[in-house]
Amino acid sequence: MLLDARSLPPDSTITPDVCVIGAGAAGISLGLELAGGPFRVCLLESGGMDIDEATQALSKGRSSGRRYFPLDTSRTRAFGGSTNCWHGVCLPLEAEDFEARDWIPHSGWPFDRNELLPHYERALAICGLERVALEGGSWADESRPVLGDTSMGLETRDIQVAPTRFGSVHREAVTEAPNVDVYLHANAVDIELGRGERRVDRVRAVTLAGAGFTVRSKLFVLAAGGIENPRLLLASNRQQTAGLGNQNDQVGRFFMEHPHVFSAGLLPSVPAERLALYYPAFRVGAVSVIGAWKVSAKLRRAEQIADGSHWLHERRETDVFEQRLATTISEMDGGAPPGRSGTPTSRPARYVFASECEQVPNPASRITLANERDALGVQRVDLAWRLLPIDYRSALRSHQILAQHLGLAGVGRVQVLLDAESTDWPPGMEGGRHHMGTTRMHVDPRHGVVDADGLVHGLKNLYVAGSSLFPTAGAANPTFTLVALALRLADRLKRLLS
Amino acid sequence: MMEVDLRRRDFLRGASAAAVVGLVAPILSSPMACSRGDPLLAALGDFFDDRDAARIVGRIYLNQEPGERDARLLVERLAGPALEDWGSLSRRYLPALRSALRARHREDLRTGEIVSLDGWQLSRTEARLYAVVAAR
Repeated sequence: MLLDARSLPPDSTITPDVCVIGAGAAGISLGLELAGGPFRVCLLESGGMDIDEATQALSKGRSSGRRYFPLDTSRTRAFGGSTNCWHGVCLPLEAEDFEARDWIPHSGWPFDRNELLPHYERALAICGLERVALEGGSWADESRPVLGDTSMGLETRDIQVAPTRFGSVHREAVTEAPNVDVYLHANAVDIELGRGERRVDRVRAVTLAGAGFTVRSKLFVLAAGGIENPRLLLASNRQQTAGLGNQNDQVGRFFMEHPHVFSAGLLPSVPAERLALYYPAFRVGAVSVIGAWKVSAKLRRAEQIADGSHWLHERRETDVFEQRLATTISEMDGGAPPGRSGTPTSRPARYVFASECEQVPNPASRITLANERDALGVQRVDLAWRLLPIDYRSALRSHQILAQHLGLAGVGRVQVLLDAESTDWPPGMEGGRHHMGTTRMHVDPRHGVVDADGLVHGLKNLYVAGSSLFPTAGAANPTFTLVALALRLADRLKRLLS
Repeated sequence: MMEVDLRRRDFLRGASAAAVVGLVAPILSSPMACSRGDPLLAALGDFFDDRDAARIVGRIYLNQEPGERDARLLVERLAGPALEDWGSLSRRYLPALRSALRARHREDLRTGEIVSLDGWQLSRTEARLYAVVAAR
């Protein structure tokens, strides 16, 4: 049922079996999985069905680290969460992303990718995808060949684009489930522990109009996003002064993004048709697909670098020098110069790479509480996004490797604009509004906030869902993986409730 | 499986002369070989059909590497120890020369013998080939 928390009688108490805080990609996935079960579920959504300014303003905060988007523009508080305005880029993490890599401190998940594979399969329908593309180039054929020599370390990664709006596509399945109640305009502001402080007893929620109500439940799931998840844990500090789950000062640390840079280009020495797997995106059923290049896991290990996805983002006209260079490299690579011997006579094009880089876990990159408070009296956050030299070096080396390998493959020449003598990112570098790592999974409470199931260390009934669980970020947009993780958590919740 | 030497230090920015692998020598050796490089210079200068384009790119390289503005020096560096064996070349050797230089170009990419022109990453061999056209 779809309910408006503003219409609840004052000081109401709701008593479901499971309370999910947040109705974005993770919360709705949980709602879908729990729908129809022999237990009561409630989803608390801060916003309504549409975006409104006053609710968005609750997400405002400070950035004391690297320049970042205004926080109230980097998340959406409405039913469906940020899937209301996402691009829909989906791909699974790589097997190596789950492994501990000795050159990447704090890397390693508490399980391997095989654990997630069945959940990735289940997530396909929710995200509206075609397949779990574990091996790159799965849509390649004669007309769309894989370019680059895989055996030498340049591989292809399949990216599916399906901007599924969870709030509209899954609205009916969630809100009409007989055992699920969705409360709109319901802002969780405090998580209160019961006697003994090992179990959450209740969550206090309020509306922007000031009316408050209480949710008492057997199980609670925090699914409010990579910034709001740690915020609510830290702000729930009346009983445990450091905040919930923060006995080892881990909550809010390891904030990760995917640095996006547009600092490489490709001047092809092959006809544009040969690039068909990589540009432009092509339709497969209901999704768009585009191939990206990546450095193989083996070569990343040899180079001691992090991951990255590099796809052709934009086609541009060449300048005079590039036109000449296009001619010479075509000859060098054994082809006819553009405009000769029957090749297209149009002006040669060049491409801009978009590189989505893996950020290495960094405990100093973190969310803390600021002094300011929002309209509901909850402390706002201070985001200190911080990168390490290895992040820059990984991007630079990846571009250099692309240059070597695409040159070797006779695809063309790559322009590398990152400065080899520097670690300063260019001004155009920005995140992808991917907030990860702030309640990371680790079996050891000294190194993580939750265990391998998403259960907050030290508590018996508070779980976390979403990309804040990720110990490492890989080079894959987080939604597909966070949905898979939510489905995995749903299985656990069902077992507990049965 | 071919392994690639991807050492970062090999990404040269106006660094020393290229390592010579001598791939060209066996193909181009001839009983008529002589020690002078002019025929070779002519052959290399004719490598590209579109010499105007190569000249423009080559000038950028020479501006970046002013120590290589001498065409004869460029030929010596391109040929390496094979220079004495190359001898007098005629146009009938051009296909072999193209093939050998392309092999050298790929070897440069494998070993990271790369130069950056306006950020574009080129093998040292191809950059010098462009420069030969510009320096003639």
